[in-house]
Amino acid sequence: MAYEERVCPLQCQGQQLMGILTLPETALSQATVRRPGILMLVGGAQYRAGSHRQFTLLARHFAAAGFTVLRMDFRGMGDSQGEAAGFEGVAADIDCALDGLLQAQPGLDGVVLWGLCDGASAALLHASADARVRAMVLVNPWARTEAGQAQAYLKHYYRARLTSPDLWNKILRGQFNAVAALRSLLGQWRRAASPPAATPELLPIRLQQAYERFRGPVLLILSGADLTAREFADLATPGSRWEALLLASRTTRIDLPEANHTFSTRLWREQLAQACLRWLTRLER
Amino acid sequence: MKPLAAAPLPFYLSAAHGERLCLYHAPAAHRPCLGGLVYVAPFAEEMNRSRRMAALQAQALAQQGVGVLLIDLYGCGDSAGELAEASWAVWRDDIGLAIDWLQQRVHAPVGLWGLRLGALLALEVARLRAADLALLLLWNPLADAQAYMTQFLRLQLAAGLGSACGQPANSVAALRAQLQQGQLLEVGGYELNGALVASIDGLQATALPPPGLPLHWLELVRDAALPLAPGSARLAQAWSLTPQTVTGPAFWSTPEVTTCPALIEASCAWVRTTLEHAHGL
Repeated sequence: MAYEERVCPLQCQGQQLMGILTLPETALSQATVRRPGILMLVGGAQYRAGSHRQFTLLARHFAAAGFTVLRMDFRGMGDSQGEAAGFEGVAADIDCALDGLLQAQPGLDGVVLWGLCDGASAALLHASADARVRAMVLVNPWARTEAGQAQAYLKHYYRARLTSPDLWNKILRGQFNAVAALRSLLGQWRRAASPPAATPELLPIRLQQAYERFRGPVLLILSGADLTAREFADLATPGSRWEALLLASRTTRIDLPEANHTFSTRLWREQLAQACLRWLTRLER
Repeated sequence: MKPLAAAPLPFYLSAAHGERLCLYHAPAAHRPCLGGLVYVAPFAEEMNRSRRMAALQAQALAQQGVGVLLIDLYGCGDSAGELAEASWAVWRDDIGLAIDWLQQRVHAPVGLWGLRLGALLALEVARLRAADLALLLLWNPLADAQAYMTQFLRLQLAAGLGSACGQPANSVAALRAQLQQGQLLEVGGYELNGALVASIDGLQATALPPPGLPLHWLELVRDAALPLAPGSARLAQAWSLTPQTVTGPAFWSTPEVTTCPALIEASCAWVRTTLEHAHGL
């Protein structure tokens, strides 16, 4: 495969962030098309290589197709210095990484923020404030509230359970603990029905406002076998502003029905890579 | 106030079949260099989850005057290749290269520090290169690598995804048979080849007596008041060694990033004392 890799340590407020640059083999200066670079933002507890090396392998895939990719450890994660701040505290990290990427490859035509899980949420919260960000790829974005989680659980888990032969087998064989199941269902119901705290700071609202402020193209990729993605999709209730955002012409939504949260098979990873590349090549100018 | 830690130096090391990503935590400038340690990471997701602990331990050792080299093995982390093409022999050579690099860098005694499956890889390399090494630090060495691999393969059964080609297998034995026939097996996102699994299956820590160099076995446990797990107890008997137990979370398996400062302290204390002794201090 035609890619190169380079270490790319970044400086962020006096602390070193560990970064890896994956580049197409042909130097960008020789390329005839102007392409954006990609900054990958990892989610949750992952470091730059990701669960089952997904970010390393995806970056190689993108670079072999002509895109320059930077991955890094947020402060306090992996090999980076400093203290971890969570996805809502990584604005400075993203800022430094954008600097580092554009210094390493000044010929890039802006940057696409690519994020998984709360990395996608971090991308959303950052993008509108940064003119270097041309577009975003949001993969299974994290928009969890307790009520939203309970609703997604009721809607997706219990529906699947009721049609599962395994459940009915258990019931027929008398192995089904009806009392415990009912108690669990009632608990989820109560959480789902609890009114959201009346603050505008709820994560889904802040994400929606950030999405509205950002005017560029967005690729949204949602896995079918992932509660995080279900919760996000459930935000787009009929008539809601989320629905308007997801139906807007600048949004491209792709559902990968079989895939799980981290695309943990070669097939799912390749589906994800292909979906991104088809969309990314349309951004060229 | 703690002196500000110097940033580790990332670089790629040339090796067979491509480069290996390395991070070097140089010994702190204000102290004499006591020696060096090469870190040997555990397998698959355990490597990812323990990345923070490895970085923190390396940083703490560097502060004490010990240079630490972290290396991603072939097909792992940010190194070249795919896990599907990895072999135990290439991994052994990778650790050998790391030892050579570190020896040239620190000009002082060098040792190995390994976690879980990495402890067994460190042990194997130490048996082959005992004369080149000054110490061996083992964190929770796997007592039975075959049982460990069985547990890993069960992930595949739990996922019910079947093998890369062919129908879903319904037992670990069937999965091992598919591997023996030369099929790749995808487990939890990791593609495994039969030769690598066979190599790991064949590692019996009880049959690998440690070489005659200073060795320290640190065993992280949930409750130090409880007896050792049966596997560890068997290993302790086979090696005639008693591990030093430290209480803390099994950071290589927790879904969130967890760390164990007590393990870092205990490791620093032993490494420093051992290297000072090697210097006749």
